[in-house]
Amino acid sequence: MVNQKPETENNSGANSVKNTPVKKVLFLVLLLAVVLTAVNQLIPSSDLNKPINPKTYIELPDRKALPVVTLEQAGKGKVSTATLKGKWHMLLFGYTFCPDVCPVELSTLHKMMGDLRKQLPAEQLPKIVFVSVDPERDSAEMLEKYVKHFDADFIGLTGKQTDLTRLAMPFGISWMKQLNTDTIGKKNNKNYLLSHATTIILVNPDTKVAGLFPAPHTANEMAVAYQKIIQKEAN
Amino acid sequence: MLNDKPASCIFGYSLSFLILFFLSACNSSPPPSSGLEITNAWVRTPPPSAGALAGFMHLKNYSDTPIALLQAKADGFNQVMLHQSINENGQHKMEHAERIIIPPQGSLQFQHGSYHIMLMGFQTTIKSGDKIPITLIFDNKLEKTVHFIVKTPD
Ligand SMILES: [Cu+2]
Repeated sequence: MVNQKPETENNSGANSVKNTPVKKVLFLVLLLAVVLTAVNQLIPSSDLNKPINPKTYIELPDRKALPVVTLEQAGKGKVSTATLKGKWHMLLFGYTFCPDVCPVELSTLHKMMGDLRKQLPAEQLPKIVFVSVDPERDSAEMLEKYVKHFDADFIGLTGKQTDLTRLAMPFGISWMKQLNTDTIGKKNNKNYLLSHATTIILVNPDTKVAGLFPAPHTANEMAVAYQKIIQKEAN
Repeated sequence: MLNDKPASCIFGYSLSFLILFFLSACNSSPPPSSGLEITNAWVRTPPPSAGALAGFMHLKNYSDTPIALLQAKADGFNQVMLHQSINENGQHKMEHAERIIIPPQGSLQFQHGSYHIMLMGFQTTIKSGDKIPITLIFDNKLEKTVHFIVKTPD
């Protein structure tokens, strides 16, 4: 509370309340409270008329088809990506040995689904697919347990590196084994790390890729964007 | 004044701010003798079949010299490292951090998307509510064992 001005300059009001530091603090606290209340009222819960924030979602004008590859799902065995037809899907790529980013991503998507389940009928909801790019460590069974920890409706898929690459490459999604840990050279090192893209791809019911959700992801913004996308599509 | 919000609401806001203000002003417990304080130490509850865990905490340096965190150790894991998550051009990776500096009279937050203690390879089941002792080794010959609580953040 540094204020060098003489007190008289501040006393313009009719009430000549002495402008002590405590009064100033009180005034600032009150001002902050008023501003926060106002901001709170200005943010609408979901404004579906505004355009989608380009930081949240990038529409792909060419609508490339999702490459048809065969992956593996626990309990189902071999699954072709062609079977994603008929519903909207969000695909994210990661691995279960990733303790910082992947769990946060999956929790965010679970929150987003919570929002969407309140707003949309079941048939309009997207299916969330976590694709493991680390088949060397992630079996389909492990992956299934991993994704179900976040949401009972999440799907886990993995497959051969060549198929995974064919699936993700056209959308600029890549990953790589990192060689910068101090475990290089150790034989059978199971603690290797991967660098991986955090972009989520949105696949429409015709298995065409409609757009990308770049990181960072926010549950609420993704839920609002998704509703706008499918609304636009329906018209 | 705002039309449809009753004055009591604004009063409520101001009151909570006032309380917070006074709480933060009064809450000045003496700094620890080591000059370093570690609070809010936690590990994210691992999903089943997860191979690695991440530990987070808040470090506060009360001394007038920088303190560097050099290493972390924990029993029951086959490898423990200090890591920094980095996001470059939509690509996420984790890098080994060799020296993490806590500035004099400053603080550092280990958090999602930034620094974490990477705990790799474990045999036991780790569940919410468990406490994992982790020993942190600093450059001023200081070693601190902190119990990290296992939890799922909201
Ligand atoms: Cu890490």
